[in-house]
Amino acid sequence: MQRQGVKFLEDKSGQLTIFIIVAVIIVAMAAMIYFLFPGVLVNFGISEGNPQQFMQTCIEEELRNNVEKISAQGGSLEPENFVLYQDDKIEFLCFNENDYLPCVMQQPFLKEHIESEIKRGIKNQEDVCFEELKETFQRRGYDVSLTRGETTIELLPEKISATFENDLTLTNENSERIEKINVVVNNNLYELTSIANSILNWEARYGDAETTIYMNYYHELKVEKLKQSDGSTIYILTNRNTDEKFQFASRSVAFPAGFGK
Amino acid sequence: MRNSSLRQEALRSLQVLGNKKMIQKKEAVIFFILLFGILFFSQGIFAVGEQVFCCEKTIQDAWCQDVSDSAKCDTSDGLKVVPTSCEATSYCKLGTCVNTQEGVCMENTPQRVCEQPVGISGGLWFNSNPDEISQCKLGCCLIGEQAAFTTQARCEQLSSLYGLETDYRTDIQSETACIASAFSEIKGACVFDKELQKSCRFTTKKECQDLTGAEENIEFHEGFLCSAEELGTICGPSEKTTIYDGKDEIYFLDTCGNQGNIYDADRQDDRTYWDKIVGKAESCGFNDEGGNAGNQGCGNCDYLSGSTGALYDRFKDGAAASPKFGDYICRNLDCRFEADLNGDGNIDSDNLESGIFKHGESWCAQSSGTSGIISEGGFITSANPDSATENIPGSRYFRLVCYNGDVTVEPCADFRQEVCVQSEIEISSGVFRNAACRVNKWQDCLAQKTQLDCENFEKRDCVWNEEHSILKSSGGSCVPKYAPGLNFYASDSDANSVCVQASRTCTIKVNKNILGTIQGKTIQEMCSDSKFAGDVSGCDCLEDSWIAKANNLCVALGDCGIKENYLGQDGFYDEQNLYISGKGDSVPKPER
Repeated sequence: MQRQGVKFLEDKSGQLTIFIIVAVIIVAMAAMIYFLFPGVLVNFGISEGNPQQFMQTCIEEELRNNVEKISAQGGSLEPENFVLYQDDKIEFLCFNENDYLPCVMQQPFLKEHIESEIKRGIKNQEDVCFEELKETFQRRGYDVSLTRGETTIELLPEKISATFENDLTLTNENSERIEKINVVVNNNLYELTSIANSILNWEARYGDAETTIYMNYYHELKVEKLKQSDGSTIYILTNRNTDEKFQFASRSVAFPAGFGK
Repeated sequence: MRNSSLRQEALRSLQVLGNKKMIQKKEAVIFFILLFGILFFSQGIFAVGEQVFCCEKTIQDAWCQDVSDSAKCDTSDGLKVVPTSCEATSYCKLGTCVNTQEGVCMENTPQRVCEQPVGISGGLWFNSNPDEISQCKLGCCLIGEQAAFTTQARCEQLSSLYGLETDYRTDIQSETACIASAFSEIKGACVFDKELQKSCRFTTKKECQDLTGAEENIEFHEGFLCSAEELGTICGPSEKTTIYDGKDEIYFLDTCGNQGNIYDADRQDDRTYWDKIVGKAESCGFNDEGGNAGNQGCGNCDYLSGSTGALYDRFKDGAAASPKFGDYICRNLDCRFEADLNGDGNIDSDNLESGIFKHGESWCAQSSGTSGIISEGGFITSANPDSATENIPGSRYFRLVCYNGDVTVEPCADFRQEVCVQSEIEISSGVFRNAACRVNKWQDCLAQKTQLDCENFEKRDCVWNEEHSILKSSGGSCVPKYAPGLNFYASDSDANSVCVQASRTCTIKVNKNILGTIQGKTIQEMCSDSKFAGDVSGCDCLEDSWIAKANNLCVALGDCGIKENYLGQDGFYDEQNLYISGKGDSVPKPER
């Protein structure tokens, strides 16, 4: 009897140990999933609590991908006048096809151009996201009324903001009207385009730009200047802290081989 | 053997890649060079006598380009093309484009591109330089503790983006003065009662006055630290340190998490160091040449001196740099650069390029086939390059730059149209190098008639070669100091027209009256037999020295003549095919 009692106690403590081990494993797995795959939370519905969060989750990746692509291509989604460098088509932002002459500015509104390109780039995903938003909230029992409006992309210091001025009304027991949804991603493209503009003005005036000036002023900035055989120059601006890049090309006061044609 | 065969080949007369037509062409090329000089320095004329078209947009999608062939212009959607230069058109005339919203002025912008950009609204276009436009006038924009030398509109835009008041100073007219005028807002200890305790926050006077929470009895003590004993707050000295965005230095933290003075291990337990703000100049290691990099006890880091505050990393900073207090250290931003110029995977330890370089330093790479380091103190002072081994095909100058512990490689213009020049400044720990790619001014060398003009290094990079004259009666030739590269492999290359200028003709004359007596003898035999001394002239054409001199001139012009490339591969020409014999009559054919 005593022996059985002991066994019972032993079984109980064994069970407890197993429960603790299982609990620890579950917590560890959850922690692992959280740190390794934060996006998984979306599927649990945690990030989709309200339309603002839904849109942030839905469109953020597309926004980042477009920004990265546009940044690598001199500010354009589909560069037209470009130089190929390591499989990237890099747009000429200042260009003269003749040798020895300073370049002609091609994109004096670089910031605005990039904003319009980002807007164009996320258009499809924006449509998909709003459609999904509508369906998701309808499934949750809401009456959803959505009137599409203007989309604005803004390059701002240290961030990029996408504002969707869509009139969204969610009606359940109560009614909630949302006129504006704002999605923000952290990014230094605003700062990098400002520096690009300065470099382009140097290129247009002198046919060249000194990289160290910028690195002295901006401690986190790396400026690379790569002169190509065809007389063009590729500039790569990198934020050392975030590794974000903006690369663009210029062809100014180009020296051909020999005397040229 | 090779020389012997060459001499036989040269029996009648020697020509280096040439004939009379080529010589005529040479004259034409020299004329072209003179003309080029004018074009080059005037920088505005497209080409004399050539039809120019202004494309509003080219088929390559470039706006406002002068082209020689109208077929290059895109004429779809009403895009214009006119037979004149763009400068003469209204829509492609270049000027300054002002983005009134952002306050940005962009130079050399065509009117059409400024006023009607695709897909976005345009700006204001001015037919003048930015210096003449009021919207582009620069002033000093003070934003918070920072300053920017920019336009007023830009200043307003930046102030609005950062949510700060605009402080635009037009009386400051230089960037240096502007940056120097950036001031730190006066800070101090903001003491207040909260939750029955006398607490404190290190902040500005304005922020202190704006405290609107549960704080009571708010007092601002300018220049004091929260840890000052006389303030009687709950905050005191600690061993913790931190760094702040936009600042290089490491600061102590007090027990409340407020900023203290610059980290100085020797003064951590000095109560007076925790009372009032001590300026950077009065802090430890100020003006240290290396910015206190790797100093275990001093956080007075300085970016321009080569250090910045960073979280201590044993692998990056070394075990010896472990901070005495806290977790931060002035990180050394110098660069370790190891060159492997021959690409064999081994570091060339004896190479000058390998070693430690200072943050901010730039230097010229010793790239294979170039003239190495060209020192420049106003003008080039290095010795004359050896044309056979320096500035050879495929070689290129490179500049290396060290910033933030990272070396970037900047290629100078290809085809040696730029050379890398370097200067050095003596500092207590050695030298500080500064390098730049600058234009190789070789273009008008061949047009110089005197040694004085030729070797005017302020105007051109040329050297005088006395061995042969390209221009008649000049007693020598002016040739590029750093032979330029030529794209001789391209179908539209001008390599031939450059190289042909070094064509030399050497004639051996034989007295016709002795023809009967020389039957069966070669010119070589005649030249070496004193019996024929009076009947044969020009025998020096057969000497190695003539051939060497002729080739020296050839290789000095560019990628011409007998040369190896920068990888050590032989070029197309050798002595067999570079020298061709001319047509001599009445002279027996040489034996082969």
